[in-house]
Parts: sequence; C-alpha cells; structure tokens
Amino acid sequence: MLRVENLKVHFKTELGIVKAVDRVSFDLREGEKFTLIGESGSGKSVLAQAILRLLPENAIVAGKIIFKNRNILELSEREMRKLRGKEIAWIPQSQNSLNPVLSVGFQCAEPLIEHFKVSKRRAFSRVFKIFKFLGIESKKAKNYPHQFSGGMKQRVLVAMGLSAEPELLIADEPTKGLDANKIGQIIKIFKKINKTMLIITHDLRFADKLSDRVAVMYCGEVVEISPAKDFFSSPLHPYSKGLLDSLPSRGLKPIKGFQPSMIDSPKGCKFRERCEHSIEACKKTPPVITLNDRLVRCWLYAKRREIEKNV
Amino acid sequence: MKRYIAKRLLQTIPTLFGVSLLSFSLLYLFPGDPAEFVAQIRYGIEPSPQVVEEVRRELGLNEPFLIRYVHWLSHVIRGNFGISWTEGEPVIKLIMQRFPASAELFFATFAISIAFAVFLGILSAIYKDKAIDHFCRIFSLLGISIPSFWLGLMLIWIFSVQLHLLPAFGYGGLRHLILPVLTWSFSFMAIKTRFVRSCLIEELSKEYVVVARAKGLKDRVVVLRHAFRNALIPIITYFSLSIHHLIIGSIMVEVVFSWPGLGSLLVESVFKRDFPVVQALVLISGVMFVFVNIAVDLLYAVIDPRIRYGE
Repeated sequence: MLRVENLKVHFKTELGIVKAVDRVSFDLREGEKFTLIGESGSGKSVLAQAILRLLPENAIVAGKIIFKNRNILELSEREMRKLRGKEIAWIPQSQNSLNPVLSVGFQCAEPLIEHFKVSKRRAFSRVFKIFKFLGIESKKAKNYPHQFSGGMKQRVLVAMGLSAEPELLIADEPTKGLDANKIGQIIKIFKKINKTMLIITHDLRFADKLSDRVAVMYCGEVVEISPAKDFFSSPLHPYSKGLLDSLPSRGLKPIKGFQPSMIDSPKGCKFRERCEHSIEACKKTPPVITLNDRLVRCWLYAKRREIEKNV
Repeated sequence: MKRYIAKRLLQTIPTLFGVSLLSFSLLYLFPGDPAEFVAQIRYGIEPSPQVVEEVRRELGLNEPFLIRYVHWLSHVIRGNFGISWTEGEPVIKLIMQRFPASAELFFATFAISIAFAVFLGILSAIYKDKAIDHFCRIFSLLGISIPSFWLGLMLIWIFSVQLHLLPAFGYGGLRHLILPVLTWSFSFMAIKTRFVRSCLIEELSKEYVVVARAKGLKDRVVVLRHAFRNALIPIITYFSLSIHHLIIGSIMVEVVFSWPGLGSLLVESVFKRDFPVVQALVLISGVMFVFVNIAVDLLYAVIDPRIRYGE
C-alpha cells in the first residue's frame, strides 16, 4: 500500500547537514499496524512528516514514497493537498497540536468540510459518530482544547485523523505524556480502528500490544524490520536487543553510551561504537540481510550467512 | 459576562475620579493668574486690581480648590462643561462643533491604517524574506522614521503646491480628507505592520499549523482561520494601546492641515488659556481611553475561548 524506497531526509543547518532519515526502505501492507520504534531523535517523526510532505523548507528529501502506485514526492502541492487528511491522515503528538481558539468539534470536522464539501451540520453529525466510537461525549464537541485533559485531547486527535475515513493513518507518538491507564485506553481504541496504520513510538510495551510488524530506527536508519511476535521474542539487531533489555521487565539494562550526532555520524554501522559484538567489518556500511520475512542491517548476519554458504 | 461588565464599569469609577481630578487641576498647575487673563480678554490690557477681583469672584475662582472641584464635577456629570472664557459660549457647544471633523479624521485614519497594517503584515509574514517582505520592511521603516509634520508638509508641497491636485488645508469633502489621512496613517500603521508580521510568524511556527496543513487545508485557510485568529490576541492588545497615539497624533495633524477638529481646538485653547475648554478636552480623552480599554477586554473573550469572564 505504501512503499518507502531509499528515503533520505537531510536538513541544511548552520552546523552542517543533519541526516535525519538516511536510506530508509520499508513497505506497509494493507490493513496492518506497522510500528516505527526508536529513541527520541532517531528520525521517526521526520519520516512521518516526510510522507505527508509537511517538512520545513530547509529539508532535502530524496528517494521514493510510493502510495497507491504514485510517488508522493513527485505530486504537485495541489494533488498533495487532496491526499492529506483524506487518504493519508496524521494523528499528531498530543501537546499543542490542537488550535486553542477553535472548538474541537470544528477541528475534527474540518477535513470533512474541506474534502467532501459537506455542510458544517453534516460534518458535525459525522464527528459525533466518531466521538461516540472513541468514547467522547458529543456535547463536548463545542468545547475548546483547554477544557480537555491529556487523554481526552489524544482521543480528539484520533477523531480528527479518522474523520475523513483515510486509508492510511500515521500516529505520531500517541502515548506521549500519558499515564499507564490512559495508554491502555489508547491501545483499546487503536485495536478497534480497522485501518492501515503507521505508528511511531518509543514505548516498547505499547508497540508490543498493538503492532503486526515492527521497524527499529537508529540514528536515521532502519536497522531491523520484523513481525512483532518474532521481534519481541528474538530480536535480531544488537540495538534491538539492547532496547528490549533496557525494559524493566527484562532486567533494566541500559545501552552504553549515547546515540551519535546526526551531523557527523560514524561511518559504517552507526551503532558500532556502542555494540558489544562489533567486528572489523562494522567499519564498512552494513548490508541489509533478509531472513525469511525479516530484515536486518548488520554485518553479524552477513558473516553468518557467508559461513553457512561456505559450509 | 453581564456581571463582569457591571464589575468593570464599577471599577472605572475611581479611575474616572482620578482623571477628572487631574484635568481639573490643570487650571492650578499652569503658571499665571487665570482671573487676570479673563479680565485682560474682556477689558483690554492691564486691568485694574478691582476688575480682576470682580472677575475672580464671578468665575468662582476665590473659592477653595475642593469646593470648586465638586462644583465643576457636578456640572460636568450633567454634561455642562461651563462657558468658554474667550468665546463666551458653552464649552460643550464648541466641542460639538469640532467633533464631527475630528471623528471623520480619526475613524478614516484608524480604519485605513488597521486595514493596511493587517494586510501588509499578513503578506510579509507569508512571504517572509521575499521581495514583498523587504518592501514592507522599508515602507515601515520610513513610516517610523519620517516625522509626520514633515511628511505632511512634503505632501502639501507635492500634491497641492506643485501638482494642484488636492487642497492644502481646511475641512470639506473627501478631497480634503486625503492628505491628512495619508500623513497620519503612514506613521500610525508602520510599527503595526511589523507587529502583525512578527505575531503571525510566531503563530505559523506552532504545531497546530502543521496539523492544519496535514488535514489538507488550503494555505489561505491555514493562515487566516488557524494562525491569524491566534495572532489576533496580541495584535488587538497592541492596537488598542496605541489609540492614545492616535489621539495625540491628531493634534499635530490637525494643526499642520488646519483641520477644524478637537486637536486644533485644544492647541488654540491652551494658547488662549481657555481653561474650561482644555479641562473638558483632557477629561473627554481620558474617559474615552478608559472605555476603549473595557471594550478591548470584552473583545478578548470573543476571540479567545480560554478567556471567559465571570463563569
């Protein structure tokens, strides 16, 4: 449904070129919930905004984003506008994403009014239905964002994304700033939504409960793509293992060191300096290895495969 | 809301007392003996001390300050500002004669400069650092740095003396209005254009703007419906605070263009030491300012849903 091919998003800044997304490829299958996992600053949100072409002007985007056989990056601004909200909708991060001076009902109705040219009243009656589905009282539609709690705001954002019945939903950190109880509610809501979803999160447990497949991003690169079940039972990439081991339920072992800067990131494997298994080959750019329906960008697996071949 | 308005109106009473006390004290703050001026006007140069005393008693100037203040105030509340010392006519009549000309100039300038400041401000925010923005910047810089009296004289020289297109001074139809309004608006809108620009640029960088674009809204809608409505809050504060500039500026413009308004009446009365007129004009402009502030506070509640009074 959506295929990202060799996507690069670089930002020109005074300090140098920030490689926020580098050589990223993945594909989204119809109806699945695909989760992008990574630390803050690993380029996840930039990737999401690149798909909707909402990046600021200093962003340099290269590669291909194929949505329904069309390369999004080659569409005109007019065509792009027809796509946004209607075919690909965005559920933004919770804080400050709602306009403080417009009622939440109207903000949710906006995509409908814009794309289907329906009256305000008809748009609102549709919004009421979505509100009911998400457990928001319809009388709250007249209220303004400051009258909502964080969890309710998040639901409103989901409603806003759903209102024009898009084919693909991109949720950016839907659990940011929410407590465990509220996260549970968001999981329930997301499970009820029967759509192709690209979920961006750093919350591993959230990803575990929700996703069909998982992609791990590290320093602008996708280092592993695996079915969620396999990922959480036997991660491939050393970074994935490190991430899972840092969970409290798995021993709370943090990964040594810090994520390198995106301006002059290390050559070869970007995780090399923090990796316990790093070998001489890691100084060269690691290849993407396919193992059944899993992908991993790591020399360890290349070596293993070579060894297997030789035997 | 009604309770809030009532409360605000009650709160203005002490302020209005202060304003009235100050404007009344002007008579005592000015150097010289008012009774002597009046006697001079009526009976020629060097009136005898008896005549001066007679005038003093007639005008009630021999009474203590507080008694005279209370006396004056009790008349003012009933709309009686006394008799002009030099014209011998009721002050209120003089003011009403001059009021239409001032109001015409005031509202024409206010409307034109606000409209242009908002329009140019929005344009230069959208086309930030483009040619239009640079043009507006130069335009505003000129408006800020060129003194209005000089600009007024230059415009008279160009359009009246050289080109014979417009009347140089006086009050009449639309043609008489053009030069004073042009002079006055040019400086009044200059900083406001910059202010609208910077408020809007700040709002355009907020998260909800990206969200609005992600819905597929047109740029025009994103700017006007989303960002500009939020920018309006500081803009209205600033514009309303600048109304006193407009009142002060009117004096200068009216003098340069011999416009028969309240500003030139004030200047004439000050020079003629016609204190009842000066007192009345100072009081009226003070009261106007107090009520403009209340109106602006109420306007906030209309624009910003986070501000709700007395709920």
